[in-house]
Amino acid sequence: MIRRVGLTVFIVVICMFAGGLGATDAGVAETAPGFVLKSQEGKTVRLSDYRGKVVLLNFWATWCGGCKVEMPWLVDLYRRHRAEGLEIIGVSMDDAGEDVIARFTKSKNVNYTIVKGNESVASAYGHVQMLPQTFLIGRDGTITGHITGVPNRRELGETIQQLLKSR
Amino acid sequence: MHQLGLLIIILGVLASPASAADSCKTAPAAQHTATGKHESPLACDRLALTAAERTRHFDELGPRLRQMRTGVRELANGYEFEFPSDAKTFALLAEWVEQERRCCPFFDIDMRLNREGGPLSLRLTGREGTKEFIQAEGAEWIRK
Repeated sequence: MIRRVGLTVFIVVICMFAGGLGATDAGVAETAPGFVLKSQEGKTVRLSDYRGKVVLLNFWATWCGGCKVEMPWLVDLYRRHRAEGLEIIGVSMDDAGEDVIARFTKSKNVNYTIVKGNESVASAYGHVQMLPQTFLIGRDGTITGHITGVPNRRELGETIQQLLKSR
Repeated sequence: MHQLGLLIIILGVLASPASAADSCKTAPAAQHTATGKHESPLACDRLALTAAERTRHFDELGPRLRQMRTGVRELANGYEFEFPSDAKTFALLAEWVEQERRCCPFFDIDMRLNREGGPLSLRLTGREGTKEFIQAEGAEWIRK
């Protein structure tokens, strides 16, 4: 009987671990992992400071072609929806120095916050191996969407609008 | 009875991550077509190249090959570039292509040496969005 109970507990524990892995299939937790990073202007950017806003967290790099495709779309999204509570944080995963990143974002007329990423924040968001990669974070701080690669522009706009409506 | 209870617990635990995943609408990193064929997203693999390889690819090989390019042709689903067919250009292009296929697995890449010592051509094509990707990657590549 004791052995049977022990076996039951063992199986349940194994299933719980398996369930945990499944829940983080893409390495993404439901609550957006917090981070503290430096912006291009040297300001401290904490994700927690954006609670109550819809956050589009975009991992990118200056050498990434797909990032160049979507960057003007993000600039446009931010211009149109900032007043409704949209914040965009571009996390640069470049090896290049901050001057290279700054020149690049200036050439693209980037109007949203750019921070320098690191392996720690990438790891928290499932390693972010492919770029671009975008996480949509609701006003309550939970991840509501995750896009790997260049998104469908229309669908992304519609999703953002829906998120902005939710309180 | 004990076994039934165990079964319910196991099913309950296994079912829970599915609902959690549903509430977090995550897009898969790789997509599959209706025929089950694997399709990488239109994205670059940041871990495919080392920092040194990335410098070589983007800062050295890319600019050099763009200078060597003798022609460009727009295709429905991408672009074709023409280069001189000497051994040095071929080696540089082959090196670039090997890195590009690791970094951007969604590309169809064709290198062709035309007969009778004709030019060396490189075709970069792919599914919808690939052409726009090339256009955004560098206007210098497609400028005629």
